[in-house]
Amino acid sequence: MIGELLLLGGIGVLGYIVWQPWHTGTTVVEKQRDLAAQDSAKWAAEAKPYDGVVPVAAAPAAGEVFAVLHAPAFGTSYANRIAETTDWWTVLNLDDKGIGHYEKTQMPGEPGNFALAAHRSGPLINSFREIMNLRVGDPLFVETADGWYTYRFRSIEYVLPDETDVLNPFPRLEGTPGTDQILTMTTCHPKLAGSDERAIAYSVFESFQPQSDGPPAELVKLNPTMAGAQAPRGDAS
Amino acid sequence: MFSLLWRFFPGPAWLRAIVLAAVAVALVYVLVAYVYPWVALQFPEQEVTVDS
Repeated sequence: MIGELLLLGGIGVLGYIVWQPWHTGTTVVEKQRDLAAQDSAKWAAEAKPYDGVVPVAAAPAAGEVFAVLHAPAFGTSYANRIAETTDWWTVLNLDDKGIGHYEKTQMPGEPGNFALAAHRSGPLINSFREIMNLRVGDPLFVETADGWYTYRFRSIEYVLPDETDVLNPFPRLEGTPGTDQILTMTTCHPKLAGSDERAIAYSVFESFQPQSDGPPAELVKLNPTMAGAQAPRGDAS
Repeated sequence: MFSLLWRFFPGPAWLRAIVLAAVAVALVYVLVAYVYPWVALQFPEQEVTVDS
């Protein structure tokens, strides 16, 4: 009797071990993809005419979703929403948000540092799980209501948790913002054994494409689902 | 315990097998829908931000 109960309990624990990666790796990833597609469709439908000046996204309220990160390096059809603040229980731990923007850092489109944080492991949502898959030159696309900001991955480094100068307008340097536009992603390190360190990935802004032109050709090439699975864009909407 | 379960439900063997399979499916559903998500919240969360 006791042996049989222990056997059942063991199967229950085994079930959790199977469930957790399935939940964060499949269920939550698909949920994010659907939510991101809804956001994209909404933004495409209300696309404003483009005047040739790269727009700066307006500062959102805490907890508000204002962008979507498309990162083919994290998975072909990867799309994850970005919300304001890096608070656990209003952004980072919620499986309908997941990526948080450091409030004191700049926004896409303006000189400075667009800094994001997200979980890399854990049972809730792992938006930056595949951060070590980034290779020099990989594109990262930040989509907002205005359009698509393309960044190019440059380098990754490991720091201690108190090294906040990675969030400087130009990471690691003091002084006023220059003209560089940086995308900084922070997450935990090591991946599965605590979080004594942080992994920091830097990318550099490359180009902007207005929402009315649809997703960048490079994104459609790397992620063919962007062409078909989304709501119609432009004239078709 | 498994023999108790087998004797708990009435009916012929094939019916018991079906009923027990249905019970197992319901158990798995409850685990996935309620128990595992609750367990997931009991783990310590990992810090991902650089402190300000």
